[in-house]
Amino acid sequence: MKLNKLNVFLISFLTITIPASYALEDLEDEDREGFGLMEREREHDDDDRLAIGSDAGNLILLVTIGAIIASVGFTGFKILRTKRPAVSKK
Amino acid sequence: MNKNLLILFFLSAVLIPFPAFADDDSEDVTKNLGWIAIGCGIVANLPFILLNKYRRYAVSVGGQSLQMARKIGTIFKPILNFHIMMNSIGYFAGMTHGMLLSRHLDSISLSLVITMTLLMGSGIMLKYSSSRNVKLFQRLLHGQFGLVILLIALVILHVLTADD
Repeated sequence: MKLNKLNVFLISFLTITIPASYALEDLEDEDREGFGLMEREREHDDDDRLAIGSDAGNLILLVTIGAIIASVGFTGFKILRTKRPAVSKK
Repeated sequence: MNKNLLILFFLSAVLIPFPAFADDDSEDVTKNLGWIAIGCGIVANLPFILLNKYRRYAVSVGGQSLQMARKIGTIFKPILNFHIMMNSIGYFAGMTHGMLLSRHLDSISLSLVITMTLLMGSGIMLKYSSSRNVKLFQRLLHGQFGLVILLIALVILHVLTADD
């Protein structure tokens, strides 16, 4: 059974956007009723620990970016290493 | 006929209202959503990875295994399509979730966005690129063990710190 490539992305897009519109309605309701802001501020006091700019946050970001650069570099190196002998033989 | 049924099934799934959101006050709901997402990720990726590994192993060993690898070849395409579809849904769901809750953005979420976008981008390039060199580069990058481990670690960290 073959699904058209475009259909796969269209269905993925619809699957995501329709529930998201329900969620937006809920958020608007909360804002209108005027509740939750103070509670949320209290609940999310610990957010600063992992916030962007904090020590732990910077470390996580650095590790991620480092791992990505290392992966891309290693992949490029692997390709160059396998291609170089073939060029030198000619 | 089968194709239409499948499309109808997915469209009906779209209309089912979601009973819970990650911004709900209940901590259990938030974490359970995260574990469900991880479960979906395992279902989307594990069969594909195992099949791919076994196929490569069978080709390298040869003999009886080669016959088995040819049989597996017939179910490879549907499993690849399933892998692409589930991961596309996961990616768009993750990005929408991130945009809706962007006020709680932290370093783990940002790292997750970067890693997911890199893997999704390499997957798209792998599927649609016609250049042989680009395909080779993307195939190696898409299957990098380090990136996969990084993604798993970030997803688990994101779920565990969801209540903070």
